[in-house]
Order: sequence, then structure tokens, then C-alpha cells
Amino acid sequence: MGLLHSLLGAVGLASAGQVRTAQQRATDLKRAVGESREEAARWKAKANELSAKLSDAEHAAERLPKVERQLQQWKQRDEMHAAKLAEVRERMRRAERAAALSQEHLIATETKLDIVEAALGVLDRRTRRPL
Amino acid sequence: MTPFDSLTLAQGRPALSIVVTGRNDGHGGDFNGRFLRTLAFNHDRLTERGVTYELVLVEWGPPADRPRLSDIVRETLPRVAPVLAGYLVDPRYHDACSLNPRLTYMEFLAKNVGIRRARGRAVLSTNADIYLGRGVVDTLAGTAIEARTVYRATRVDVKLGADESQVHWDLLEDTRNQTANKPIQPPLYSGGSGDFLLLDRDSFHALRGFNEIYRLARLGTDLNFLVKAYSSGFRIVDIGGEVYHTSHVGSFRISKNIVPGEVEASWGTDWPARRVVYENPEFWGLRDAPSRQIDEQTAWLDFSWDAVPPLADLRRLVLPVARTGIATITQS
Repeated sequence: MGLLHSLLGAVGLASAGQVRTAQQRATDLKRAVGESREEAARWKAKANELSAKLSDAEHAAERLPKVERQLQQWKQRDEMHAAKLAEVRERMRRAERAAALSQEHLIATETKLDIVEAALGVLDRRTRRPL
Repeated sequence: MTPFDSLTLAQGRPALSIVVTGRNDGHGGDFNGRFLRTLAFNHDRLTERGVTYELVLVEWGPPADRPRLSDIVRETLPRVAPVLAGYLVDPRYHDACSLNPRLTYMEFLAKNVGIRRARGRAVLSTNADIYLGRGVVDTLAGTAIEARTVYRATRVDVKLGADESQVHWDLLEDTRNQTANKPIQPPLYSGGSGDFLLLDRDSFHALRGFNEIYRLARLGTDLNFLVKAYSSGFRIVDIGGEVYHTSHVGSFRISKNIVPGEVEASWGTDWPARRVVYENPEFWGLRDAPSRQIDEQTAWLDFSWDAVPPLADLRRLVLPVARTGIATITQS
């Protein structure tokens, strides 16, 4: 077999077995090339995606200081509002206390007025009686 | 706070003074009958349990043409006579003191006359038609009375028309004979307060009795005393027993529904008794009224302008001091 292959090889020919083997190898290589291309396409897509994300991240990173500044402003405004709210609450508490106290004084004053009115009525009757 | 011994132990003076007021004018139909029945009942129950007491009976403006209540008590209930201390208040005091011409009886000024002159270590201000319950008498007989403590009792109304000829505790305690009643609640334990206010005499004097500044109403003056006591730092507690009252025509509970137009004459106008308190002058209880002994047990308080409080003494009407629970006071 080896001599025959050598002779065929010497005149530029190959045996049928060699041809089949070569064809099989060629098919395998083609498939491998196809798979490599698909793989390359996937990596390319991934690379594009990452690139887009990177770009977004870069934009975000560019905006970050501005956002931080805004956040800081909002935080300050929030603290200011909270302080104002606490102050308003305290003022309301004081106003409620003052209103309650005023109401108590008003009731006491009204009661005193009732006494004054009644006393005037008594004096009026006492004055009229001898006349 | 000094606890007293139980009120069964007298030391030269009565342990307890029971202060009531009334007059022989047929108030509420059969005033004398109701008064004498409750008086006999309470006397027997207290005596059985060894509680020594004096009955301070103040007749506010007694009618000149009728026998005096104190004389009727002595004649009808001779066994009560030895504990009787009667005070007859000249009728002119009513006109001089009243700020409400429709008001016919100044119950709390009359009670102040009695409280001022009471000799007992403890003073019970009550009404002339109140039966003391079993728990109350037990407490008076066996429990120490704390100083600076106002003792209150739930008032239970016995049905109008219930047979009172032979009253005993079983009859009074039988819920079939009772109308619905609200148990007293902290912090003030108010509700029918004029029917049972027990306090040591010194504390009653420290508080200077009931309000003599706002003299336009009877209604609410007992509650006002509780607000004053509470605001002054006194304890108010439930004595743990009940007192019983027979509904009758003329009682506030009946009158307000049947003859609302006549309520003001008996009870005066509604006023903010929970919101203001008072500081009576030191001569409260007609201290300066000239007293004339008309018999061994009865004194007549002659009229004198010196004893009459001013018509208007506005600086003595003040706001109660805020204490824990004051919100409850004003809302309850």
C-alpha cells in the first residue's frame, strides 16, 4: 500500500482513501471557520454593547458631579423645610396653648361678667325698693 | 398625710360631723318625711357600728309661721336629739347674699355655715334625703380616714314610689328597686357630689368650703368644690360604698325632665363649674354672723351686714391650677 501511494504520489495522484480523508478534513475546517465567524460576531456584538454601556457610563460620570450638586441642594432644601416644619409645629403648639389659655380666661371673664351683671341687678332692685 | 383613727374613737369631740341643710317648707312634696326617715336610718346604722357623730342641721331662712325642723327632729326622733347641733339662719341672709332672684335656696352657703361650725374631726357634707349604704358605714366604722383626701360615694337612685316605710339595706341594695346609675370615675369622682363629700375638718377649712363667690346657682357648686380640691392638690377617692337617694318631685333629676321652667328657681343657671375655681374670703360660712343660743342645741344666726360677702369679689374667681388629668376634668 505504501509503495502504491508513493507511486501515485510521484505522478501527482492520490488514492481514493486519501481523497476522502482530505475532503473530511476540509469539511471540518469549514465548519470550524463558520463557528469562529459566529463567535467573532457574538464578541463583536458584545463589544458594541459594552462600548455603548461604557459610553453611557462615561456620560453618567460626566453628569455625576452635577447630580451630586443637585442632590446636595435638595438635601439642604429638605433640611431647611424640616427645620421650618419643626418651627411651624412649635409655633402651632404655642398657639394652641395660648388659645386654650385665652379660652380659659375668656370663660373666667364671662363668669365674672355674669357676677357683675347679677350684682348690678341686685343693686338695681335694692335701689328701686325704697323709691 | 396623717391618717385618722377610725371614726368610732372619739376624743372629747365627735369623730364625725354630718352637715345637712333644709327647712320646714315642704320642698319636693314631703321633705320632712324624707328627712326624718333617712335621719333615723342613718342614726341607727351609725350607732350600731359605734360611730360617734354630731348632726349639724342648718335651717336656711326657716319660715316664721312653721315649726322649726330641729324641733321636729327632737320631738319625732328623741334618740337623735342628743347628737343634734342646729343652726337657724336669719332669712335676710338669703336676700343679702343671693345674686339670682329666682334662686329660692342657697344650699351650699347653708352647708358652709354648718361646715364652719362643725366640731368633728371629719366632716360629711350630704343631703337631707340620703341613706348611707352598708359599705359607707363599714368604712366610717372601721377604716382610717386620710387627711387631705376627699371621699366620694356613688349615688344610687331608688325608684320613685318605692315603699320607704320600713327601709333596710337589703331593700336599697336590691337592683329591682333602683334606677340606672353611673358609678363615679376618676379623677374627680363627680356625679351627685352634693350627696356625699367626706373630708377631714382641717382640710375642709383649708379649702374654705364651697364656692361663695359665684352665688347664682346651686347646680354645679358641689362639682366646683371637687375641681377646687383637685386643683389644690387634694386626693379624691371612692370610699367604696354607695349612698341611696329616693327620687322625688323637686329633685333635680326629676325636675329637669318634668318642669324645666322651674329648674332655675331651685337650681340656678348652668355655669362653667369645671373651668373656674374660687378663693373664699376668710370669713366664709357667715363667720361674722352674731350667734344667739336659743336653746342648748340650737343657735340663731342674727343678720348683720358685716357677715355678708361682697356682691362681687371678682379677683377671688380664678382658673384652676393645671395638674395631670386636667384635660380629663374639662372634658368629662
